[in-house]
Amino acid sequence: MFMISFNNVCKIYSGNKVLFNTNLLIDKGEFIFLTGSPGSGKTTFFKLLSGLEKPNKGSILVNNQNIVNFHHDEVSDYRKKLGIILQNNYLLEGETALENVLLPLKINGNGDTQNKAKAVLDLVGLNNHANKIVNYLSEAEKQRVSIARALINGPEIIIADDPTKNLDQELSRKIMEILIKLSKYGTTVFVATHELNLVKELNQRVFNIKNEKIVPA
Amino acid sequence: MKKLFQHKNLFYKLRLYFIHHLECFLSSCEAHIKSPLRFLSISMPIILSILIIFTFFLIYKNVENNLYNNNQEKIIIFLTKNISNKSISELRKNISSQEDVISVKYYTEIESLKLYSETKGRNIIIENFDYNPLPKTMVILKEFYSYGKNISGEKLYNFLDKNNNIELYNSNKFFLEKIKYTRDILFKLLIFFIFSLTALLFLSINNFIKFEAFKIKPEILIYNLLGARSSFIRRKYIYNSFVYFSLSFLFSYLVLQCFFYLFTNSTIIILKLYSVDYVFLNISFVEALFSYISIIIIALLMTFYEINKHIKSRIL
Repeated sequence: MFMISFNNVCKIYSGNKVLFNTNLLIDKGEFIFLTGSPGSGKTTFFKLLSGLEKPNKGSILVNNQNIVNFHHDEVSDYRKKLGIILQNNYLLEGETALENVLLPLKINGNGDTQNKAKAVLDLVGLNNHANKIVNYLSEAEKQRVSIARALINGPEIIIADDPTKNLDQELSRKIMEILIKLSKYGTTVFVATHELNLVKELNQRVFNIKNEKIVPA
Repeated sequence: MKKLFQHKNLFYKLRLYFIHHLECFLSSCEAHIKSPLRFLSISMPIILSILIIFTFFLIYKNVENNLYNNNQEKIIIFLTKNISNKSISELRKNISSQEDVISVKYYTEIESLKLYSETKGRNIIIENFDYNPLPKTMVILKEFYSYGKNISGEKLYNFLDKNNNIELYNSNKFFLEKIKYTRDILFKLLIFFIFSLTALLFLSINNFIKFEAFKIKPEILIYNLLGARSSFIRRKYIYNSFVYFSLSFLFSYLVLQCFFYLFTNSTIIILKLYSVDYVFLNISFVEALFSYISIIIIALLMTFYEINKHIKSRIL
C-alpha cells in the first residue's frame, strides 16, 4: 500500500493546464527530488499535496484518505502532520526565532517544549539566534528558522519548495542531509529544487514535471 | 463522552486549552496597556462616538424626566364673593369627578392671601392689611400629557364656563403646550442623532475590525499553513477585539462621568442661586451594562465574520 497516490489529477488555472491526468505513487519514507523549469507546476503540486488547493479532477490519497474531500477543519488536522517549507518563509514578524519554531507545538496543543525547539534550532545552526526577532535575521537565517519550524513536530511528510534557495553550498548540503536522515526514520520528503548538482550528488529518487505530467527523471 | 474520557492526556490538553485562552487574553491586554497613546490614537473615533451617543442619551433622559415632572396642568379658579359653603363643597365634588383631575384644593380669602404672600413677599399682607385683593380660590391639578392618551380637558372647561359660582379662572395650559411642542421637536432631533450616531459607531467598529483583519492576514495565513483550526486562529483576535472594545467603552464611560460631575455640580450651584432645584439624571448601571454588552456582541460578531472570511479565503 502506497502512502501517497495521485490518481488522474488535473489542475487548471483559468484555462491554463498545469497538471493534467497526473499519476504518482510514493511510499512511506521516500525522499523525492522534484525538478522542472520555473512555472512547470512544482509549487502547484505542493499546494495540492498540502491541501492548499483542490484539483479540478482526480483524487489525492494520503494514508488511504482522499484529502480532496476533506472539509476545512479536516484539512487543518491533516496539515498538522506536514512540515511545509515554502520559498517565502512565512514567519511571524515581530516574534523571536524560538517563538516561531514553537508555533506548531502550540497549535498541536503540545505545550511549550522549549528544549525541543532549541535542539531543532541547533540542528539548523541557529542556536545563537533563538531569542532574536526574526525581522532582524538575514534571508538565509529566516530560511533556516522556517526549516526548523517544519521539523519540530516530527511530521509524516515534509514538503520543501526550494529550501536551500538562500543558503550557501555547505549549509544546503547539511540541510539536505538532515532531510535524508529524517526520511530514513520514516518521514516522506519532497524537495523541489533547481540545484541539479546537489540532486546528482545526493543520489535520491528524482521526478521531473514536464508537459503537465510528473515523470521519473 | 466515553471517547473523550478515554483520552489519556485529556486533562493535560484541557490545561493547555485554558492556558491558550489566558495567554490570548493577557497578550491582548498587554498590547493595549503597554502603549496607551497608540491605543488612544487608534480608538479615538470609537471613544468619541460612544461619548457623543451617551451625551445625547443623557440630554434625552433629563428632558424626558423634566417633562414627566411638568405634565400637570394647574387651573386657578376665583369664586364669586357670595358663594355658600354648600355650593363650594358641591362644586368641589363636581370638579373632582371630572376625568383626568388629580386634585382639587380650596383656599379661603386668608389662605389665598397667605399663599400669594409666600411667593410674592410678606410685605403684601402689611400693605394690604385693610384690603384683601384675593377672593375664595380653588386650585385644580389636572393631567395635561400622558403617553398614548389624548387629554383635551374640554369637558372640564365647558363645566367651568357654565358655572355661575365661578368669577373667572386661569390655566397654565398654553405655557405647557409651548413646552411640549419644544420638547417634541427636541426629542425627534435627539432620537435622530442617537440613531445616526449609533449607526456611525457600528460603521467605525466595522471599519476598524476590517482594517485590523486586513493587517493580520499574513499571520492568519501562517497559522493556516501550520494546520491551526479556525477556532484556534480566531481565539487570539476575538480576545483582542473584546479587550480593545471593553477598554474603549470603559474609557469613554469614565470621561463621561468626569464631564457629568463637573457640569452638574457647577450647574446645580448656579441654579441654586436662582432658587431652582433640579436633579440631573445620570446613566444607570443597567443602561451602561446594556450599552457595553451591545457593543461587545456586535464587535465580536463582526470580528468573527471578518476573521472567518480570511481563514476561508485562498491562502496562497
